[in-house]
Amino acid sequence: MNILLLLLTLFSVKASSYSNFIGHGYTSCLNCHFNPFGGGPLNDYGRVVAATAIGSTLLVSKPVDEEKLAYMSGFLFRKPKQNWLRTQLNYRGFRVVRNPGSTENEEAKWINMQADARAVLKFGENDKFITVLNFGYAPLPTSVPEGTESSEWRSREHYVGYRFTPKFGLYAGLMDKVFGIKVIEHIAFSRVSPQVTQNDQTHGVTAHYIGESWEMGAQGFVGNLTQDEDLRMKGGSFTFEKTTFGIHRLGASIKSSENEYLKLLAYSVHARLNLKEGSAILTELGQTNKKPENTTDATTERFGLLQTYLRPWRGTYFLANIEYFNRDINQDDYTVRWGPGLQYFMGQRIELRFDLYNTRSFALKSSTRDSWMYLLQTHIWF
Amino acid sequence: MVLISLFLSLFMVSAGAASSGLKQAIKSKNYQQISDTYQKDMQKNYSREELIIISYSLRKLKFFRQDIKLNIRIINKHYSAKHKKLLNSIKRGDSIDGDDYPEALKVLYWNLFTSYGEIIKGYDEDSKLVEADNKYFTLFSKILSELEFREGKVDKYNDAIIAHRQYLTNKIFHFKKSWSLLYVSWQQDATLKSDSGEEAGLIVTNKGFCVGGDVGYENYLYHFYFDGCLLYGSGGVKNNDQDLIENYQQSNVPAYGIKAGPGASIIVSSSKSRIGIKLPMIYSVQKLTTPSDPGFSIDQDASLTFIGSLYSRWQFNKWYFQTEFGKYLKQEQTFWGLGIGKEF
Repeated sequence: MNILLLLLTLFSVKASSYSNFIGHGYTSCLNCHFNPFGGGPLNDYGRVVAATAIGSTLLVSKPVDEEKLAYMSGFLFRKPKQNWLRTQLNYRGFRVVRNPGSTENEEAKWINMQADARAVLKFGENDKFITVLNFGYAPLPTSVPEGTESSEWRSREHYVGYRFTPKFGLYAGLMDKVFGIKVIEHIAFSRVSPQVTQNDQTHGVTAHYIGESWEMGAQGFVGNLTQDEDLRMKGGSFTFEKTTFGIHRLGASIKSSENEYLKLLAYSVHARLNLKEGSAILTELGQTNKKPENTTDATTERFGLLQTYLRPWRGTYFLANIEYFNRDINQDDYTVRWGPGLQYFMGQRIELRFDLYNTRSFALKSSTRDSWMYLLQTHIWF
Repeated sequence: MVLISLFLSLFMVSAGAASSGLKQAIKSKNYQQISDTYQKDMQKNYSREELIIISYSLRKLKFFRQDIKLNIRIINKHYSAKHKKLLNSIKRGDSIDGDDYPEALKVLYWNLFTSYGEIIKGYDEDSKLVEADNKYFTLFSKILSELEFREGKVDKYNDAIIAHRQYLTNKIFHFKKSWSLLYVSWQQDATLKSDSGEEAGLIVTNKGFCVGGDVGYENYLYHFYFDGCLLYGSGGVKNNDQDLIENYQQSNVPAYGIKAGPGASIIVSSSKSRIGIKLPMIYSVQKLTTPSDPGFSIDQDASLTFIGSLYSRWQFNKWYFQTEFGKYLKQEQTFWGLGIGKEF
C-alpha cells in the first residue's frame, strides 16, 4: 500500500488550472475559481468567462448572444435557481502515443485521466463561507503490479474556507500545495520536481491574502492523511506574486517538507506576462534540494519552464512548452523538453488539446536520439 | 414606400409638382430608370423635388459622387445664402443656433456627409484620394455637429469611418528589419563504418548560438520575411553500439554554419505577438575525428539540410522574444532555438 501511494504521488496526472489566462487580464485565480490558488471547481464568474471569453462560438447559432451563453454556462445549461450549491462534472482523457512513426517502438493507448464529481456549498455575503468536495477517478500508474488492490476512486480535494474580508481568507482540508505556477502539463518538471503535481494534495491550512497589486499564500500541511504516516510529507510553503506594469505578475515560492525518508526544500521564481488578447508567457525557474534520510547524499535538482501562448482567434491557443531539467546541479547533464501544442475550446464545456513532446538529452559522455511523444486530449465538463 | 413618402414630406414638397415620369419610377423603386433619365440630360433645369428624387435614387444605386454633385447643386440653387452664412459663422467661430437653419438644408448636409463616408468605405487601399474625400467628410461632420443635427448618428458614423481609415492604414505593408540572437540546438547524423562493411549510426547533438536577423514586409496582420543567422556551437557524439567499436566518443566538437530561409507569420494581438512558419536551410560544418582504431572511418551526412519550423514571437515595443521549433525534412532530427531580437 505504501509503495502504491508513493507511486501515485510520483505519477502525476494533471494540474487543472489555466495560469495563461493572465493573457486575458486575469491576474488572480480567485477571479474564476473557489480555490484562490486555482484548480478545482469554477465559480459562477469563471463559468461565464469560459463561455463568453474563452470558448469558441463554433457550436453556437449566429448571431452570437453572449448574454444567453452566460446564462447557459451553469450546470445543466441553466442559471442555478439557488445560491448555496454549485455542482460540476469533469472528465479528462487522452490518447498518448510514444515513439510515433516507429514501426518497432510505437506505443499508443487511451488513458481516462480524470472523472470528477464536484460540489460546492457556499453561504454568506460574497460566498464568504465555502465547502468544496471533489471526488473522482485517478488511474493507477502502469508501474503498479497487476492484481494490486487499490481503489482508483478517491477524494481529490475536500476543504472548507472562510473569507474574513474580501482580501483575506483561511482554508482548511485536503488541497493542492501552494507553490509556483500551476500549469496544465502533468509531467512538467516544475511540478514533478518540487512534488506539487495533481495528486500531491495535502491536508493542511492555507491562508490567502490579496492586496491591490500583490497576492500571497502560506500553507502549513501534515501530508495526505489517507497515506501511511511514514509517507506523509509534512511542512509548509509560501508563495508571493506582485503585479507589475499593471498587467504582469512576478512571483516567488518556497516549500519545505519531509517524511521519514526524504527532506525536500524547493524554491522558485516565476513570471506570468500578459501579452494581451489571450497571448501570454509563463516562466518559472527553481531548484529542489532532496536529502534522503539516513544518508549524507543530497542532490539539488534544477528545473525551468517557459510556456508561451498565442491566441489567433477566440477559443484557439497555440503554445510552446519548453522545459529544462537537471537532475543534479553538480553534473553537467541535463534534459530539454520542447513541445509545440494546440489548445482548442470548442465551446464552454469542451476542450481539445494536442501536445507534441520532443525530449533531448545533453550529456558529456553520451549522445542519444531524441524521444518523441504526443498527446490528444479531451476535456469535457458540465 | 412609407420611407419615400417620409423622405419627400421632409422637404415639404407637393408630390403633384414632380414630373410624372420620375414620380412613377420612384413609386415603383425603379432607381435605374431615374438615373438613366438624369444621365441623358444632366444640365436640365430640374425642380427641387426632381433633384431630390434623383439624389435619392443615385444613393440607392451607390452613385455617391453624382449624388454629392446633386446635393451641392440643390444647396447652391435653394440654400446658397444660408449655406454661406453658416460657413462664415463656423470660420469665425461664432456660436451657431441650429434652429436658424432649415431642416431640409441639414438633411442635404447629412446626405453629403454620408455619401462621402460611403465613398471612403468603398476604398480598400489607402491613397491620396482617401485623404481628399476625408477632408470633405470631416467638413460636413463639423457642420452637422455645429448644427447639432442627428448627433448620435453622426458620432457613430464618424467612428465607423475612422475605424475604416485605420484599417486601410493598417493594411499597408511596411519594410521591417531586425537583428536577433538565438540560443539553439541542432543535430547532425554521421555513420561509423568498418572496413568489413559494418555500420553504426551516430548522432551529434549540438548547442550554441545563432546571430543574425530578418528583413521583410509587415502589416497589421501578416509578416513575410527572410531571416538568416550564423551558427556557432559545439556538440558531442558517442557510439552506442559497443559491438562495433568499443568506445568512440568526442565532446565539444566545434560546429559552425548558416541558417537561412523564408518565413511567414500571422500577427495575433495588438502587442504584435505572432505565430508563423519558416522553411530555412541549415548548412553546418563539423568535422568528427576518425577513430583511432584502424579499419574504421566516419561518414558524415550531407551538411545541407532543410527544415520546416514553427515560429512564435512576442513583442515588447522594439524588443521581442522568439522561439522556433523545427524538424528536418525527411529526417528525424530537430532544430530548436529561443532568444531575443530588436527591430531597428
